[in-house]
Amino acid sequence: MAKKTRITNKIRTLRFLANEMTQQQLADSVGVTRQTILAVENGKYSPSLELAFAIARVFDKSVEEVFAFEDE
Amino acid sequence: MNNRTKIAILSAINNLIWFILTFLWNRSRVASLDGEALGKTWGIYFLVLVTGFLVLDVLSAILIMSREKRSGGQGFEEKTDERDRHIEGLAMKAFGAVSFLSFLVSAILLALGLGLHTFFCALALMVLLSGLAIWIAYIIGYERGL
Repeated sequence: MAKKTRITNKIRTLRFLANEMTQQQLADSVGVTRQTILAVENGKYSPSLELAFAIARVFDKSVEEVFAFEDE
Repeated sequence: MNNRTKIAILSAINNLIWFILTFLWNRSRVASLDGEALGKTWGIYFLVLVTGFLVLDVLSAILIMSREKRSGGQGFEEKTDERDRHIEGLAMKAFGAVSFLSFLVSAILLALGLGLHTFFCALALMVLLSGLAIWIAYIIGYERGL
């Protein structure tokens, strides 16, 4: 069973709103692999601050608008 | 499934099979030996074991990445990123911890007077477990998440 992180995100929705951007396109924009974008989207990997800022910048949003920290 | 997970699974299986085969081969060679001859024979065994592990790991990677390339993927040009480095770090930690604990157990067995045969068997098991720890860390890192 996959271990979920406590960081949630809206990347899938934002990709859809950005002309249905593919995971590969987003991955290329921020310099990671498609597998990493998939893992972040599914909550299986918490990105570094640098990557989180880079992803937010692609969608022209702030980090808080893309990522949220789930309270217990 | 991630390519690195496939490589880890294949390498783990290969390593386990190679360990069993070489262990059985070596068991008959060392059965009647003692002293320096015993140490030399085990030394050759460890060289064969570790070389086999390395060769099998490289072959596993080549096999999986060649298949990936044939099915239209990036193959050997697949890049690594922060998540890969994170998982590699986890794998190295697992390797270090298992190696240390296994060596400690081997030394304790020797100190308890169980003999050189038992010590070398425990060392051989240590090599296997340390290798498996790396592959298991990769599988957990890529499939279960960090």
